[in-house]
Amino acid sequence: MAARQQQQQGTPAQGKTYQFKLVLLGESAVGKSSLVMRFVKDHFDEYRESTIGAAFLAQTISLDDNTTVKFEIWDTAGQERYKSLAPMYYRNANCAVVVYDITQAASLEKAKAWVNELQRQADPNIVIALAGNKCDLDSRRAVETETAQEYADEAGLLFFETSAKSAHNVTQLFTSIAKKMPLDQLADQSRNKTKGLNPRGVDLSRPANPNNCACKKSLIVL
Amino acid sequence: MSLHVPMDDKPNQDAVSPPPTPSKPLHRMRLRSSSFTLRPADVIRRQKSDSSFHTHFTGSRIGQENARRPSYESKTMAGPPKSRLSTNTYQDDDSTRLPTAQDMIDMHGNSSHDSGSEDDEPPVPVSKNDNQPSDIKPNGFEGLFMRKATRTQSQSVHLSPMASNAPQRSKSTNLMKAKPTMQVALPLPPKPIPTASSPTSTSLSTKTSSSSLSSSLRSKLGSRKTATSSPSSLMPPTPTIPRRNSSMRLVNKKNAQEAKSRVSTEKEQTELYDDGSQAVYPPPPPKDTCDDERDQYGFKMSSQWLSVEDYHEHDKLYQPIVDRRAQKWHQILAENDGKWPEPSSKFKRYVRKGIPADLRGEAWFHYSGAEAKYHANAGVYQEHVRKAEEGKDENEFCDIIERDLHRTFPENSKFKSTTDNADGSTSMSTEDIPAIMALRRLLFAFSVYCPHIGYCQSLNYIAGMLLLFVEEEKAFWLLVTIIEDILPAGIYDITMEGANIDQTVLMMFIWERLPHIWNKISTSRGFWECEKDVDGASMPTITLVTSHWFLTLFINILPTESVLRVWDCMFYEGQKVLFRVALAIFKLNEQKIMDVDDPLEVFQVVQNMPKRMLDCHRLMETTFRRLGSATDITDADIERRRELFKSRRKERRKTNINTDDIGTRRTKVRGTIIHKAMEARRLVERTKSLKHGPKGAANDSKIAA
Repeated sequence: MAARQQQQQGTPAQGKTYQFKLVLLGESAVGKSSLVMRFVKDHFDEYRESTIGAAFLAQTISLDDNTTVKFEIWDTAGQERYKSLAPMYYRNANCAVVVYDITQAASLEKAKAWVNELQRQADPNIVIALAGNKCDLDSRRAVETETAQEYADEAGLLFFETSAKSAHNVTQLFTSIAKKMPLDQLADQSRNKTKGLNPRGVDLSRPANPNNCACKKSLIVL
Repeated sequence: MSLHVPMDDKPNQDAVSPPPTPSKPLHRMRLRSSSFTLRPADVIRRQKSDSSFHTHFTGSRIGQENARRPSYESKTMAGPPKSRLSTNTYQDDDSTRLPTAQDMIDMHGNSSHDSGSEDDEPPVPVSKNDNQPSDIKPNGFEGLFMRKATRTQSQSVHLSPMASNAPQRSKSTNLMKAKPTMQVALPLPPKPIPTASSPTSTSLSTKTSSSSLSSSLRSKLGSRKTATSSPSSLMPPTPTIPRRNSSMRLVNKKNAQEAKSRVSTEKEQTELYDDGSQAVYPPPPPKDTCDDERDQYGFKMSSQWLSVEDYHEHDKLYQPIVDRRAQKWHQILAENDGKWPEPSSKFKRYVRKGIPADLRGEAWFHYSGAEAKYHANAGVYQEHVRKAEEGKDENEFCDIIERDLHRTFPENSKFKSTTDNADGSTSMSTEDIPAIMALRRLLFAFSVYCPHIGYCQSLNYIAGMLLLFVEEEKAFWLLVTIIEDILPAGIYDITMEGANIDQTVLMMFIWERLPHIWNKISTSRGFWECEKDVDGASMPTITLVTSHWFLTLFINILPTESVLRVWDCMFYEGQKVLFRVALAIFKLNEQKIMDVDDPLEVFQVVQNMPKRMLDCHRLMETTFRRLGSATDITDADIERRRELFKSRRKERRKTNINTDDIGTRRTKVRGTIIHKAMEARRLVERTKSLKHGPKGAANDSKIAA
């Protein structure tokens, strides 16, 4: 509930508020819920109860004086069979954080599978971030940073090694997602938006011109 | 024959189905497994020694109990019962209320059920146990002892989770015995409200309060009055202490002006807790069985949603009820020679009002039919534990189970695997926690026993909760019973198809019975529009939350005591209880849902409100309210809809494979093409940037990061 008191979209006086639907995906027990808890409530439990179905939280961050981004965060269950619910999560998602556990090599493979699925099934504009969580457990590391970084580069993902426990890189992760969102494009849409939110998040209708897509955009800068 | 028989007894039940018989006479109640065994003789002895408490332990009292209750038979025959007391029992014909479902079913060529007899249809699983009585019969005294002998070799596997509770029990018995002295020492601890202890005679308070109470309550009071006034020489002297609830009502009335809002809530609550009797006796024992932070089951009370104070506040009203229910239960067991009573509408009422904590595990075990499985499968559990241990490396589920063990009730004192050190740091002890070890064995064994399910997250919670009430092997059979008999097939399977179908069924109920809530959660789409999608992805988002409700059977959704109350009924009446409770939760939060506009807020209300629903009595009352209430659902109502959606989904899949997956496929193809194009482009850019030297490369990595 913490973040729900935030201002609604686009209060003209204080700049713009953008709202994005963000999904967290990844194998079970990699720390998805813990990341969200750290981000939203700045709190960490050694053992969190495993998530069943999905949990919904919201958090707002300000990028600069004029821009605020509100994330509707959908935290999902990790077990494979809960995947049957997955289309509901990532339907109309604007961004996704795919989490793996740096102490579990298999969890990176699972993360790759999720990235694949998202790139195939979700909105092509979706901004995906890869998060190697539990980086406080460096002594038990099973996935090298370089390996993951290489994959992330290849697949065009944002990449961070995070620790929900120590709060390392957690805010950075979400901030850089917010920064990578194509805010300029959205500005027009937000303005046209009627009050009240789209039930399924901000529905970014797919751009007719694929050049508009977020990843593309960053490349075009080159 | 299993005892898992629909409990919605009809007046003409005999004509429709034979009255249920117990699977075997329970010669000996095995309470708390090995730690405590209560024989009929014990019960009687206790009853005698505590005779002043068991005021109703006589035959004449039973007669009164029956007389006191409105005659259901005549009432139901004659017409709808007027009193809310009788809102529990009978199912009315719902076919008139649900034309849509019926239409759809007819459309799909399914034979429509005769709704008049639907309630007597045994739930699907019952037949599975039909062959069991022959195995069970010899298990009288001898059988039990023989079994005990054969079991000793595997005793090392057993955990007695409640072993630590055994002293508690004797303590509470002592407390009971010590109560006569407490009688005199009023006021009762803790005081419900400042003046609650003002001495008032029972009759006065009853009269005074009844004038200010709702009609339904008044009818209860009236019947109570007749009950108390009828002479019963056999009854041990009833302690004539000021009745707590009634004096509270009196005071409420007196202080109406100064604390209007408070009075109204208290009145509301006393009303909720009233079950036909004004007596609240014995007074609540001091809560020495649990510390301030945790409830009697070891769960931490305070949470984001509720404070310890909320619990204590609730306990003031609830504890006396619990104590009185416990007394009634022990009494009914004593009347039945320590055996579990046969299912009846009266006993169903008992169950709906809550099984006392000390009898809970055994009552679940008996009435669910798990007991029959347990006795029919001696040694099977141990065998599966062994198999699971041996095949651990090949069992893909062991790893997943392992990851969930420490995430099952991490805050519960029995499952807690972190210890707070003196220096403020926390350390984890993982291997030596008996509850976690038992949970591991149980879930491993289950994954072998039920390979088509293996392990599904949320089973850990169910098993964990069971382990708090029964010993390991019984918990295993209870889990098996829940999954094989009580719940429909396919809930926890790989596809979770059963769970998805049940969500559709639940949504349909909401659409039919709580249309205004449906409009909120579906953002004004029609039900069939939401239903038509192949994978159910266009169902209201709220199903992400409600699926959790059903999967964990409300664990982590409702406060613990409420969960247990739901389970009491579920084990006795079957899965329909889950639907009824789900609808009751919606119903009780109706206003809160209607008050918010933003669909995401609706989502949050539905997600978070149940966690505050401490008032389990109110929840159960709403759940079992009848007469056109939204929560009145029969097994047949559910089954019809389930079949309908099953066939619709199947059909859709068929047609999808053959022809019109085009839409979805097009999206997929498009996604892939765009993705591939992007990849190609990225590759080109990368090559370019590498060619351009370190500057370009740096640029590139910057972007990637």
